Amino acid sequence: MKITDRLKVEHGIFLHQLRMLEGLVREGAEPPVLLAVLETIAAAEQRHAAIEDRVLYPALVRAVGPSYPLLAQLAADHALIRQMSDAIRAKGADGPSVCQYAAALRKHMESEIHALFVVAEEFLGEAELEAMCDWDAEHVFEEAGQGAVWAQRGLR
Amino acid sequence: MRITDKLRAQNDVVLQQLRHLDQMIDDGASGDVLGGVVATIAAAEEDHAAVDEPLLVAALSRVLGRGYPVLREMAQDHRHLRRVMAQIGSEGCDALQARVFVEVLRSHLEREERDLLPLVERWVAEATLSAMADECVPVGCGH
Repeated sequence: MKITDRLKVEHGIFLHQLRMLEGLVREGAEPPVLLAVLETIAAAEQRHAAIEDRVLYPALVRAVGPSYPLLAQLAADHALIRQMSDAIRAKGADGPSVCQYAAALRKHMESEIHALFVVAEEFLGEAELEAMCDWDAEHVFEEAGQGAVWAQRGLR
Repeated sequence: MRITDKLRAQNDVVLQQLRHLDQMIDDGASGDVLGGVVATIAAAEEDHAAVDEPLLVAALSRVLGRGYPVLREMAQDHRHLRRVMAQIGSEGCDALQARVFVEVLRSHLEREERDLLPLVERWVAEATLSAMADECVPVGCGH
């Protein structure tokens, strides 16, 4: 499986869950509920972003050069989304901040699907994209409680 | 992409979120909070349970028969999950019910990874597995 396919599948889950989160805002869910649901999404999304930052983006920098504008924009998106979730954790969740987070994350993911992954599939070979998504090895690390070690591996 | 790889990717996210929910239960989160998180994780399961998995079960049933043990166990898991969700829907969520949800769903996903997906990859042609992934609901476009 190519890493771009894996990341797209994960996006599908996050987008579905963001719609749920926005539905909770419309229904007037209490702030602790909004915060807990946002945390559930954000924690998984941060792991997803870490894979992109440590594995996919460096490979793209090697392929297209460090000053490719899209890469800088998407890295900045990661930082912004992280800041937004940190701010919500610190100050509590309310409807507007949660909806802003959802909108920012959705926009970022759509940029990746329609631009970044297209570039990745054009400039990186299929074998390289598949090597970045080594299921069996990753699961061995995870089961051994060494998920952080796996995440640090990057692409050698 | 094969549909089995798609399911593994989905399972990975859901299993991570189930660990997160486990921690929230341990930390004493309220029933309303737990209920919100259960619903969020259950939403992630929707495509998986409603579209992707039935495709695999149908393909395997044609080869191995509907009564094949793994297929019966998967069907039992789904019935159990539906009962758990119905109970949460009608009675609200508390720590015990959230824990049951975690255990039932985790056990189901682990059975899927250990038993169902390898069986599918053994008996269903690679081209068919790829076509099934393409047939499923498109991911990630926000539409």
